Amino acid sequence: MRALVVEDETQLRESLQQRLTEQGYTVDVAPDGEEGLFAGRELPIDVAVIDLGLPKLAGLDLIRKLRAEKKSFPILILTARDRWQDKVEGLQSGADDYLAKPFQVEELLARLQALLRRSGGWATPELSCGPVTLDTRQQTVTVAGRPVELTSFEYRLLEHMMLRAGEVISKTELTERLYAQDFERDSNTIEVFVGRLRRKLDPDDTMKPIETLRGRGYRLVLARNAA
Amino acid sequence: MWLAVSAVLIVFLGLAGLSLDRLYRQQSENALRELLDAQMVALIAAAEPGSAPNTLTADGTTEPRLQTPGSGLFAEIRGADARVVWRSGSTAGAFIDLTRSVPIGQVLYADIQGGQGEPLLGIWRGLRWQFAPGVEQDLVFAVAASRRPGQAALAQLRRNLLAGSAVFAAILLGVLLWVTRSTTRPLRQLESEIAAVEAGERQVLSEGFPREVAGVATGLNMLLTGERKRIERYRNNLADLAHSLKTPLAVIRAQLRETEAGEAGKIVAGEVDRMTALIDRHLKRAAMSGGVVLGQAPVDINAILGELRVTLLRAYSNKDLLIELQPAPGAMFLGDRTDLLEMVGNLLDNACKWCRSRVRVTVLESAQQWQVQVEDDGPGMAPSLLASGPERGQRADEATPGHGFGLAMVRDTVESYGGELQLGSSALGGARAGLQLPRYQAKTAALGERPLDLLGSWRRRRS
Repeated sequence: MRALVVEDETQLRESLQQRLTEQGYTVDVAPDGEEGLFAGRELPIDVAVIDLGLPKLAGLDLIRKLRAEKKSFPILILTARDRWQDKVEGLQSGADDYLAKPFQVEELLARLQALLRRSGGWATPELSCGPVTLDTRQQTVTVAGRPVELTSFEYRLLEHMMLRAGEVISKTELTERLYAQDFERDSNTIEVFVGRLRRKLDPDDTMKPIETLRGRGYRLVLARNAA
Repeated sequence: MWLAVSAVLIVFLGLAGLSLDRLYRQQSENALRELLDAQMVALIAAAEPGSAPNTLTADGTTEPRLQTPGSGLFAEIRGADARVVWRSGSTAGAFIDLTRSVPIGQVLYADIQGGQGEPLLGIWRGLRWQFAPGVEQDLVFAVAASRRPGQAALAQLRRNLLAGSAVFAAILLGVLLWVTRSTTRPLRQLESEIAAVEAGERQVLSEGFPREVAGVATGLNMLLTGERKRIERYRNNLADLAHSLKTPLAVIRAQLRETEAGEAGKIVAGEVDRMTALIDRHLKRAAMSGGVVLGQAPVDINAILGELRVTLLRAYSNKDLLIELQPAPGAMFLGDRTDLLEMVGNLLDNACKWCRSRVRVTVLESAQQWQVQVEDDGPGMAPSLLASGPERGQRADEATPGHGFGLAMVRDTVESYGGELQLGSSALGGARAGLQLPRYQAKTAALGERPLDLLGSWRRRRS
């Protein structure tokens, strides 16, 4: 995995580089926004950590430029500004997660892992299979236009199944996708979540959107609609 | 103002009409007396001894009206014993009694009634007539003229005067209305633009006011933009300060490998966390704009809730969360976007932190306010917090973790907007926090009240 760290504070940049390298990442570093933009454009980056208060090109502008150039790798922003305004703006500019400074490096690593696992890479922010539509920007789900309230775990489960509609997905893989940190989880929990998801999407039990393949996992049987 | 001027004008025109009317009446009275005097002189001149001895006739008068019955001019000569000596032809059938006793050499004027109540003015003159030496007789010469022609002329004059005055007044008032409206137009425009600024529909007043009010408009605009820029600059400075304080803390944090650092590392990590919390709390409190800033565009409450929901779902990605939004169409907050984000963000953050899995956000509408209600299914708030609310002006380092400080700041901020924070228990089983945000009430004030109102809101904000 190739990670890009854009941070102007030398000490912090170097210690992040060291910790990420220890975790098996190939790490590229940039001390300002312009170098960060160059690296993001030219290198095959898998995930980026970007500080918001950067010289030459501000962090938010850097993210906007990368997204405008169709760079879809996940981005985690670091911000010293603990205001909701900055968090909201950061995510709206195209970042995928944020972490307030100072932070525990362990938490940063866990979040990068989660981002990497979740990034499937899709063309539109709206996924649509049969009557089910999932808006990744608003994190909302509708069935035939009717809104369905999902918990965040149910949402992530559905998002993953829709991204890989038609494919068989194992319980182990789903467990990994669901939790940001690598806790030991009972695979029965997945059965519970799938059961809840089925009831919420298909209360009349007519659509049968999720198929169970004994010993292999689950499959979303709804046909993917053309974007 | 126009009404007052109109009233003065009408009173003035009325008084002018009255005095004109009086003047004319006096003049026509004088003219009538002069006519009577002249007729009296002519009558005396025309009088001559009649064919019978000691009789007098004035048939030789040249005045044709005296010979025409009903002409309105009458003459008579009577003796001291009221015996008629001579009568003009015009008295025929007029039933006029011109009997008066007037001493010799005296003149009398009096109003009398003619036949059919005709109003007349009469003149009487007492004379001693010498028919022959030693033959003398005391006589009373009388002439009367009808007042009717004069009264008719007066009535005509009054009609003309009234009609003329009405037309004149109408034209004058029209012109006056036009002049007042055109001179106060810039003021009325200024008034409506200030109202729009108060309502958040405009950010600044428009350019191109006429010279008389351009200075006021420019001054207000400078005040409006200056205030907004000052807050923005202040916040940027605070953000820079936060950044420069926290980056070294982040370096320390990143160097620490807590699992390997032992007891000393844990202490350092704990102190770093405490310093971070202090910086956040002090700077956040300082960054609140503290009340309504004029010329702000209203903030869409539902949109803010949608943005915060996505942000919080990411922030709490390790928790199985259900955040239900129940928006109310058209919910707008007249105030600072950052303040609203901080207030609702803190309430939602608390709810997400303490909930088991469910958070419900409802926007409720009432005539006076919008209420943003945040509920969760967590353990609920401590009874002491529910009873007394977050402590006023609570110091950051004294705040209890969790609900304490955040709520104190939310309460202070919402109160600076004239709103309120209500804490309670939710039907979901956990805590409920209700943020009452006052709605802007569009006021329809008369011209002149608005600028005072504007000053009032500046004063309220400054204090």
